[in-house]
Amino acid sequence: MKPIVEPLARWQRRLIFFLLLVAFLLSLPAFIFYATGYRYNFFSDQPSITATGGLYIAAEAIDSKIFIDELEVTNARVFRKAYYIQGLQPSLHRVHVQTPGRNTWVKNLVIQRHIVTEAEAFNLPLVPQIRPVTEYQKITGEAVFVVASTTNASILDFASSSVPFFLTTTKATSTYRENPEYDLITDLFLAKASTTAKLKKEREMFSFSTTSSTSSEELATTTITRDNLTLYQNGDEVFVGAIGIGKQIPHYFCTSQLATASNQTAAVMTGTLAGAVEEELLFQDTISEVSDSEQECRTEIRIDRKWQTVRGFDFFPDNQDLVLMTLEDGLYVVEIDDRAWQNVQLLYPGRDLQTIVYSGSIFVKDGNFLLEVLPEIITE
Amino acid sequence: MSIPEQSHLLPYAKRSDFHVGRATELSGKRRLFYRLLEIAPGLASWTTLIGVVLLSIYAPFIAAYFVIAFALYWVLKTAFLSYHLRYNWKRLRHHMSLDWQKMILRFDYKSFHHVVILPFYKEPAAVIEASLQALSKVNYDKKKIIIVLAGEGRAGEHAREIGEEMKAKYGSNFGFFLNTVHPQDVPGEMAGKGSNASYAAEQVRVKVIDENKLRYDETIVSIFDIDTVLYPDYFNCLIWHFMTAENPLKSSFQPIPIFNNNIWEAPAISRVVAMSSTFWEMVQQERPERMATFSSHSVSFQALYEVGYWQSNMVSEDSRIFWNLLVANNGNYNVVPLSYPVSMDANASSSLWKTIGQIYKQHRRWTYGVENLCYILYHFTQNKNIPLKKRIKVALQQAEGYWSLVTNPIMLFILGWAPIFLGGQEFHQTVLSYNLPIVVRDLLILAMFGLVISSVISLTLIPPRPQNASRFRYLVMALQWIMVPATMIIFSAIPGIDAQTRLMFGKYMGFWVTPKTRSV
Repeated sequence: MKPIVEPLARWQRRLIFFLLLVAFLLSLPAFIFYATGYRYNFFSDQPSITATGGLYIAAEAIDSKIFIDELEVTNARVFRKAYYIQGLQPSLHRVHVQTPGRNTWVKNLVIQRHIVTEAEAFNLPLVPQIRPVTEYQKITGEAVFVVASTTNASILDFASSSVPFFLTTTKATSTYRENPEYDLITDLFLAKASTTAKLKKEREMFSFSTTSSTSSEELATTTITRDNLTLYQNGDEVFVGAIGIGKQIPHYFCTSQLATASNQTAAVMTGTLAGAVEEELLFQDTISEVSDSEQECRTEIRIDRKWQTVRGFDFFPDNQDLVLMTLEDGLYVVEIDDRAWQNVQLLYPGRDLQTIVYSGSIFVKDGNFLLEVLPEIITE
Repeated sequence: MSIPEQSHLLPYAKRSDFHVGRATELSGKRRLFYRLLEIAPGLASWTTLIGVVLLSIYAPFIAAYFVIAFALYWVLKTAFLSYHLRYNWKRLRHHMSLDWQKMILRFDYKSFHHVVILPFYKEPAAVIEASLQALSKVNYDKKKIIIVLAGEGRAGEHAREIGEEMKAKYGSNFGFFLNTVHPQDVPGEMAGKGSNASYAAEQVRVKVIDENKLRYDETIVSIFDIDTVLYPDYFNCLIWHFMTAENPLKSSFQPIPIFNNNIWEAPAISRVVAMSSTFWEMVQQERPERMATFSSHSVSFQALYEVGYWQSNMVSEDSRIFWNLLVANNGNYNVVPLSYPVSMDANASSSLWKTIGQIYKQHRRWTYGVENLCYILYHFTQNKNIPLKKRIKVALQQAEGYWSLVTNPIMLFILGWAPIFLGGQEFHQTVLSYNLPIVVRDLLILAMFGLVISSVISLTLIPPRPQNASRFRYLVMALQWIMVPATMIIFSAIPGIDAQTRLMFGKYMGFWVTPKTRSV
């Protein structure tokens, strides 16, 4: 008598081992080809293996939808604030990032074989989102605007306010109290106006003294530096300059050697890149063609000002890939990335606006109103 | 302890270097060679780990391909091991359901005796008593059982007092009950289980086996950790396997240690680590050619006597005795898996952190078993009577085992991401860089399905739920397996590299006794 269940037989173990070995040998190339971007196109008229590229899009809004060449992407790998789309044919693709109630971000992006193209989408609210900063507040903290008459008074009706506000014709101190934030922000605007005036005066003096020596002198009213980027004005234009090296330079400052060949230098240095690089980049085949040593990086990118006079500029709070531009008809946000074009989105409309970024918030002086402009849609 | 007379030893076991424990015990070229063997495992592991980092920096594409291949290998290895595990589980349950007493009726085993050696140090009486109680209840003629309660002199009066107390309580249940106290500070010995067990074996030989003219080849020695609780049919199962073994005097008999005595009191992390060790032994039971003895096991007294018992100058004596026997018998020695359980304690201390520290130290001691690799390789070059094919096969299997123990979890769960962080800009912008974590993660999730099998099997191996434990604990016990990646690194790879590094630098470890407690 002996146990019915015998020890695992040698032949059985060998069979399992060889089956798994075969599985390993067959599937390893498949996994490696897949990981490097090769895809088998089952639905093509002539099915074949093609080398594909990828797209990595950072998008702040959680309910973003991505469209590539007008087709919604449903198979993206979703990270916390980004999407990774793989298996894209090497070509020029039009990418839309849409979010309900927000501006659409659109860009033509070149997808190369084996390479992931990175982009950062931004979608600002279509209706300006504001928080009034008033001189007086109710005891309970609500903002109070002092107006000549409350009858048929309409204030900021083009925007959505994060807090309720009230209109009044009196400043009865028993009902209202002064708002210290208002005083602080007013002082900041005054200080900025004073500095700007001083710089303007110095610029005029400097301009007078150097006119004869050089015609390309940089005449910035102010220079703002954040991390490895610097924002400055040169003549009527605003530029972003990269002051770091290697990885410190944002990717959109750089492109491969093909993009910066001598015959394209002018295009690269003066305008958008896409037109110059698209055709040649499409035909790159091997990954090794894009190496650090072969990359050419520009030192500055011009910021789109919609052919308007620039009244002010600053980096967007918490995002150094975006620039706040105060133009003649409103406050805009412009992306620095100039592949194809720069997306420009209106944050707050208005003429003769003054803008200041303080402690991570954007404050706007619109006539007599002082407001914080919010880049996110206010939710109840 | 010295064994003055050597005529009983096998020819190869008479060599002065047969019981070598470390390089410093040798001289001349042999010392140098042994020292190099001590350096090799740590060097190989560190070279691998540093190599993966350097590869990630200087050749990230190759590193990425390697990582994908390694993750795929891991999935298939998990499938391979899970298959063995599931099969052994089936066999274990079958063996537990058999009436072994009936099955051994056809054998003439009445003249056989069992020596049970229970080495202990400072363990409380409750732990020792639980083991003796279980021994008192086995389905076997207990008059054929010789209990040796082997205390340590360095534990002071504790050993003598416990011995006397236990003998008074349980002595009459067995054929013989011998208390021994291993003298402390014997020159050339390391304080530990090996020296204690050897002393006890010689004492039982002189005082019981020879005294009663018992035959060495009909005496089976079972050495059990003091927390070992036997299942009733252990000796019947052992006799059946002994009688049916191809060469019983050239075989050791290995039960499956299930660390479940206190499983309901042990924290989840301890349960996972303990059950993982059990599972590894279950897998090994289905591929006995890779086995060495581990923890509690049984062997004929004659085989033991022919090699001079357990080594008393090193840490992992439980496995070393198998290698002693293999080498001394010119390769003609093997392990017979019993696929029958013995219960032992999972690590449990007064606080979680103490338990974690205890598990770490225990596993460092276990992984210090890498000292056996040096011993094997050394004697494989000395004893040419062992078939070359066997020497190469065993050496490669053991070397791969100790190397993968340390490197695999770290490469898989930590260094697998190294190319992404260290690969540089050129690599970082490629599809491969983005897909590497996705592919590796998906493969590891696939590998985690093996844990489902582990989870199900573990639930069948635990003792009945105590009244004070809620049913919710079953759910926790099923879900606790998600901790495996962490436990593999913390209690396998890190103590392993710790042990190998100590050996590499000649910082030899001593025997650390795992504290055993029992809630009353």
